Amino acid sequence: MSDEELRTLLEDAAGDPGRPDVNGLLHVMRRRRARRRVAFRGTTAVALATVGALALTGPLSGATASGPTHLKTVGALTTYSSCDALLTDLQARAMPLVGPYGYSGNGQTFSSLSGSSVQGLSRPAAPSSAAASAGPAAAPAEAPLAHSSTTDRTRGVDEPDITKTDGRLFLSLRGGVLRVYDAVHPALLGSVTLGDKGAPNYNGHAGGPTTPGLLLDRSRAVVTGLTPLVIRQNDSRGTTTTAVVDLGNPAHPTVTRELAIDGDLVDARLIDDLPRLVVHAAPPELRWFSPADGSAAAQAEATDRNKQLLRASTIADWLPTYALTDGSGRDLGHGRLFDCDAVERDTAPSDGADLVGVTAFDPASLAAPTGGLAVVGAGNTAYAVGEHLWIATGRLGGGFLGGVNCSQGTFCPASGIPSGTQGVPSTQLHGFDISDPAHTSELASTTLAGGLESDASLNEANGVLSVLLSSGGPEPGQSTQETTLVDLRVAHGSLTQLGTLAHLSPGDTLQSARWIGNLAYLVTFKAIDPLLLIDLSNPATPVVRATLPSADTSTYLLQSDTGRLLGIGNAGNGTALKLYGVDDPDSPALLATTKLAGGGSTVENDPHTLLYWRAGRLLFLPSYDGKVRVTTIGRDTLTPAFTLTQAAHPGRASDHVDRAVLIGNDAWTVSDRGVLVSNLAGGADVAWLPS
Amino acid sequence: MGGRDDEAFKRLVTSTWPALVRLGRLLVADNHAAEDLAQTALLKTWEHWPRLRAPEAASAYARTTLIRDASRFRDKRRREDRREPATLPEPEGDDPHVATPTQLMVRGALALLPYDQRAALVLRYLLDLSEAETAKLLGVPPGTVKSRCARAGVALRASGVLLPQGGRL
Repeated sequence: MSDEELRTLLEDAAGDPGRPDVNGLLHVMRRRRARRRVAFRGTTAVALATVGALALTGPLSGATASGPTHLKTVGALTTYSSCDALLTDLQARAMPLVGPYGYSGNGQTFSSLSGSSVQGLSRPAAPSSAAASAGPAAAPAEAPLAHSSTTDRTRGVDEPDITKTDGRLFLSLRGGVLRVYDAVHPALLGSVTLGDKGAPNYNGHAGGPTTPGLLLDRSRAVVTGLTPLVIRQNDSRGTTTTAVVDLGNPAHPTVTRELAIDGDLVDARLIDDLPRLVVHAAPPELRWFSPADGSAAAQAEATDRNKQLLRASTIADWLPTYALTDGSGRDLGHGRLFDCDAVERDTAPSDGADLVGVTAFDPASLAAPTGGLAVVGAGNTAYAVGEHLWIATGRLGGGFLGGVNCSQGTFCPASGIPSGTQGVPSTQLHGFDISDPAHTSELASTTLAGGLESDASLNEANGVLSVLLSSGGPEPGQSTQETTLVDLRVAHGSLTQLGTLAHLSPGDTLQSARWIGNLAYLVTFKAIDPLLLIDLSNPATPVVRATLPSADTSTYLLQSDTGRLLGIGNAGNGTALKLYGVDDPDSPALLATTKLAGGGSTVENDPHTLLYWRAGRLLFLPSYDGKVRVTTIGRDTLTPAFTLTQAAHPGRASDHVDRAVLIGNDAWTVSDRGVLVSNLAGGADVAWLPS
Repeated sequence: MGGRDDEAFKRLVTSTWPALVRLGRLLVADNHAAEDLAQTALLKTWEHWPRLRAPEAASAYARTTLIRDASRFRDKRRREDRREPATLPEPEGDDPHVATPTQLMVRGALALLPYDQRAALVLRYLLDLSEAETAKLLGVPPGTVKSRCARAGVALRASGVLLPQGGRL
């Protein structure tokens, strides 16, 4: 066959491309853009003032009769009397979703990640060590250095991230490889490949719920959210793996445990040294039929047969399972992550046939995950504080399927989010009491009208959960777009509406929020772009204390060491920093503003990329041009300090620095290219550790 | 930010979709997966848009992204379940794309090749790239491209898809 014939053969085989789903993609793109403007996290370490007497009466000042309706007292949960009862309920919930091709909604199936069945897990890859230097193989014996930590939402509750340090070791998880470095004398000590389970998730989407992340627990790394890169249709569900890597001998990091879960690992939190895993299980994909032709009769027949398939499903199809193996693949236990008696549901009518729950996983023991509890419902956003863990259906779905439009009067199988009326999305909220790892108990579970942007839209303090909800349609900037704050009294089995503040910044979209003490600081964007200060001292009557119009928007807010509010946002071709004085909540003032070059900051995608070193008053911001710009956050000033760049070292132009970590007197900046260690006094290179 | 807007995005999608999906189909042999790859590549290109040197670079960036993502795509079903190309089943599920038996057969035969050989062949013969361009995209020396294409040709002939009627490969 000649070259020409081969060309023709391939040309023909490639086929007719069909038409792209432009609107679908546009939707995903807009959501991602909205997400990039709404990337906010915060620490809530500031002591909270005591709350005054609560007025538990009806409508309150600031609340309006129009706008989304909220709830009075809801949230009670109930168990099922038997596995049959649970199965029947789940089937009934899923039945309306079934169409001629399986679950319908937007014509997309949502189990895009799948792998081998849970019990048939392949052995973990043999660990490999790669010492880039001739350093000693034993663990460094010196005292750990002072170091920064992940920019978590709640101080003391660590979140998985791609870099971790304890001042002795520095861990970096990139491209499926976990590298272990000596943090005291910068050098690569060892690494382990986590196989294709360690690669970024299929669409490489950073910051999404299935991105692999690390938790560092003494001498172990717990790697969460590993997913195999297999797209397979008609498979029941994805498999997510959590691996435990022993770091006792850092030159030879060894996988000692693998926990494979039949479902999505939404997120994880390290609480009291024990990882808590948040698991979501979508309705199972069965071996769906499809219509024989385009006729209505064929469609109806396929739908009927699919409904029969659903009726014939067993409880085993629905309940997520786990398989725990040791480093050599030996079975340490397998079974249901949540059994029928550990599944609860809202007593009020609710929609969706997903399951979402929490379980504790002790990486040190041989025991299987314990104390799990699940509720019928969906969630992709986790917020842990104190003894509570909230799971909500944020509009940031994560992954490619996150852009499913839920406002068309159809169900969204990807998240179980039911449609609201007239384009108002809704948010499921599930609270868990995780004070006893051996026994997770239910808090409350309900559905609120309005969309939730991210975990920073939630804040719990003193028994009150404040929620920022967006309404008016999924498109930012729609004329009816507005933000509402709802205060809910939290108790076991109930959420009681205490107060509401509606119509915040009509026409604007919520961009960022920070909760400090009794105040909530909000930035919205579109028309006015204000900074709003909301007083929550009396949760029954939240009030706007002040509004400060501002020229640019901030997608991230943090509190400086001198009590100033710092806003970070992308503006034009750079990053805008704004320093606000908020000592007097009635009259906030803009004290300083500066613009950093570099095309914008990656903080808008993922707050973990930000490093704020309070003691040194330095803010490290990786920018899209690959450099990290360091700014001194003074009491009333913003001053450029220095810039760190890896450009001198070989690599691709697309290798962006996305992490900055402080260890001792040095800043470690990380990209796919490698790790650059720079001295803080001026930014001189201390070490370059290529990948 | 940076002058992007919905219209530009729509133009990007409409203009680059056909080439991306067709390329994807030959690289992963599964139409559904190919469309996912194309969509992902488009979204990633859009996110990278401000950093592109020129808007014309978008389609090349999308293509490069797709090639890289496709290389990470491992279809365990095909590794576990090798069949004769002629008996590969139709993709199931919601898939309005209808491929002819010949198209399925050729895609199936391609899928049986090791990815490295498949990618080299597709880049050379579908995209009509030179050996040097293919080498650069795949990150290998040009000589490697030549030998991979040669081996791909041998394998395809053995599978019966390519008729051994002389000519060189």
